[in-house]
Amino acid sequence: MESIPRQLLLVDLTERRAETLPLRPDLHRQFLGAVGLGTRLLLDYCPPGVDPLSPQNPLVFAASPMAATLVPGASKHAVVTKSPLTGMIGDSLSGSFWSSAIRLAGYEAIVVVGATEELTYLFIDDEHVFFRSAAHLKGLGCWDTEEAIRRELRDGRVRVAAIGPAGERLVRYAGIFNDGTRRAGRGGVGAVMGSKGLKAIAIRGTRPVQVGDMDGLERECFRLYRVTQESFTEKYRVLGTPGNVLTLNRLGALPVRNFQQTTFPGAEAVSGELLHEKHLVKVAGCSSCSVACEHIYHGDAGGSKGVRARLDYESLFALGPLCYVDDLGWIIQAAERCDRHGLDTISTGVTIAWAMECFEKGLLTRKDTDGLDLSFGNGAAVAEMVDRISRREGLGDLLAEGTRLASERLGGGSDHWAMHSKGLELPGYEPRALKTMALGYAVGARGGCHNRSPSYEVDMSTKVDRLKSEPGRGAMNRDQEDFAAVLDSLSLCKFLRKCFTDFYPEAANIYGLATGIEMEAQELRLAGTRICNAKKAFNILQGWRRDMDWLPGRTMSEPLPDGPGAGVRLTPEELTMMVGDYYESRGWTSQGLIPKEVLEQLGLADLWPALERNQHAE
Amino acid sequence: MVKFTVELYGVCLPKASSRQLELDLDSEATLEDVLVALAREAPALAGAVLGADGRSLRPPYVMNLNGLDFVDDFGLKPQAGDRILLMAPPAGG
Amino acid sequence: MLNSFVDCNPEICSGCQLCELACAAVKERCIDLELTRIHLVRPNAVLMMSVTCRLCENAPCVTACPRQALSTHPETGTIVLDKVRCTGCGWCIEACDFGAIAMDRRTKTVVICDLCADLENGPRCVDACPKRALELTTTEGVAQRQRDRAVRLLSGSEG
Repeated sequence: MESIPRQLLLVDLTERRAETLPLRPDLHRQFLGAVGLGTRLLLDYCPPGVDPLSPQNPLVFAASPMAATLVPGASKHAVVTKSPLTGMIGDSLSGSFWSSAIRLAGYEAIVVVGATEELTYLFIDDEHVFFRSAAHLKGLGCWDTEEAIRRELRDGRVRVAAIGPAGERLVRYAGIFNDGTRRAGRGGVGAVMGSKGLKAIAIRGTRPVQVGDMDGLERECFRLYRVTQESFTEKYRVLGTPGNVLTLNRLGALPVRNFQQTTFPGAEAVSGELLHEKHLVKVAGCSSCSVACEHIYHGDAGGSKGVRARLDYESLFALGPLCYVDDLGWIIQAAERCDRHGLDTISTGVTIAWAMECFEKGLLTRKDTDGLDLSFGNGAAVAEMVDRISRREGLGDLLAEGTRLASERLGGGSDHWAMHSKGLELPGYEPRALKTMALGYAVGARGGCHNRSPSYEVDMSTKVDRLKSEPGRGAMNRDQEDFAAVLDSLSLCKFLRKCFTDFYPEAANIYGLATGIEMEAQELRLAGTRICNAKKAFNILQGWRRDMDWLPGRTMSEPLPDGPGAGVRLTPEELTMMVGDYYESRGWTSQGLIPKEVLEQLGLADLWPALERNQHAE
Repeated sequence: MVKFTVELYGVCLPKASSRQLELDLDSEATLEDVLVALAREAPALAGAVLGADGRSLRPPYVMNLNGLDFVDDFGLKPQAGDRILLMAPPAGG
Repeated sequence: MLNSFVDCNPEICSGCQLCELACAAVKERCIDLELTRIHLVRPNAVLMMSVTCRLCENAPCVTACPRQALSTHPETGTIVLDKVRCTGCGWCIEACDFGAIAMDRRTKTVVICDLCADLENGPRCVDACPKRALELTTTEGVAQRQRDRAVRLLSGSEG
């Protein structure tokens, strides 16, 4: 069949100009879409050594080519840029209507370069692009920005992705939020957007979207709609990810009190079970998704007033047990404020927990907090701190920099408990209790992340002893990364991953039916490896060093304090062994660099000259 | 007779005590026997986690012993005092 | 005989829009969201529901049309469009209390749900809905559901 022409919208904010460019035909076959496509475009448009908050840092929005088709769980877009938090690749996934709108307007991706002095928003009206003043939107929360733009444009179907005041003030972990509850949260993509003077991107897409084989696609998708209602997705549809609180608590893998503990006395009070019973308002989902995992809760038990917020496990752990807060009302408040301001809940919670430990140890006092009692357990203080971070007010200005920079500035040994890897704050899986995940955090391209490397799955299987480490973990982590890269690029939501009997052939089939790009299972598998290597190549070009593949001082020197694994340590020798094992499994050098042959095998040979120059410069 | 405690996670019951059961079994009992006993003692609870045959687990549920090892061999014989956890493995977030 | 129409239960609806996508697919053989006969409306994070033609017993769109381009099918009660007569004036769109009618900008005529009369399995959206939030019902069906709910509420018991 005829291939579907695909194009990119290139927007130059400095010149206030936009142009449509054709995408080369093999790009999707090689990089699939979303994260993969975004990574390749970032490599094409981002020079080495760029300051992430400068106009030269491109901001790439790449859709899945299966968005706005019938495929369930495919309506996603990746935001890819150089992260102001880590200085490495910052790829963040979001989903729902805005993702589909990119394609309905006729594009596969939008690349924004340059910057503007006056706060601006883009209105993409199919093939027309308008640069509109956003002066009247300054300081508005993310959802309020969406509604204001829809009112102004007098069209309720306009989809909007926006930053909140946190992004405007360049908080290093500000995100870009869309469709009310969806978030490209991690890595500070919102700060990049803020540095460009770009408040929002509004899209009205009214063009028809072609698919490869409509008959075949209808049959396969209708089958999948049924399969995704079965037991494999029950966890997500019913309790949702908040169900993780009690299980991780029981396993002694729940990060509590800034990773000082791994079990939480207040776990029952903040459990998914309790949230479901007393606080649930609605379960909704992304556009095109047949699972629907989005749990919206209210802050008043049994009441209809009060604050409402979407909560997933990561937001719950970071604003709850990690700060030693056992009050759901305050956790929901804090989450709602993060949503409004446009802040990544993980980085926000972990940074506040760092500050709480500094307060506990007297490195920060009430003078530094302007009188706020920043003791662990003070839920009101967490919520207040969210506001101050967004406004960069008082201590909020230091915390807005993230744990890495904040601990560098404060000193006093506070880096020991700054819980990040490469500058990206660690999510809610305790690495000392899940050693394959620990490796995944340490070597992750975007930093400490459980999503790009879901290696906790290995740890919570019968395959390994999660409290031990041995050679072989490297290959396991590599396989998790490659698999995640395929899911993130096709894209297919990870929550659907267990609905396939034999993933690669089935996924290649759906991709072919939806896009007209027919791939073999092996080709698809290789695309995952290619995408992971492309991310690593970007990092090397941007100054990655071997010592960045590491974990915080607390993780590397303190034993597990409690839980079933009490006393277990993650030693530097163990991590060094696992990291080396991982490099070997990737075919990289012992220094973690990519040899020419590997690049050639993956069709990335064009990157060799720059990588070679960079490696010889070391 | 030996006592085992079964802990259930992820079933929509907010009270912790209602998610835990003590079962008395033969000292030679296997993990499969524990599941059968669970079905007998608490059929309502068991319905959420057990397979149709009453002696296996319904996905996504898996079994973990004492918060340490995940197990899939239900022919194993638990020790006295073992706590048998039934949960959907934590994921995502 | 009361008309059957596609009704959405907002308590079950998760706002996925697959009904709308499936409608476009089956009617247009591509994903053209401007030509769907069912429309997902999602005003905020907790409110969502699809709306399509309710097959009113005394259809205001038929009455409103200044060219008599709309009529009611004698058996199914669906709204039948005479494309030759239709001028794309949009009076029917305004007359419809549910916003169920859309304008096809290419042909300058309207599109209205026909319950997928040509399909063996009936309305494609009902088939597609992963949550079974859509069903074919009549005004009597809706009334019975409401009465049932009222009885439980007023008596304070489930019986």
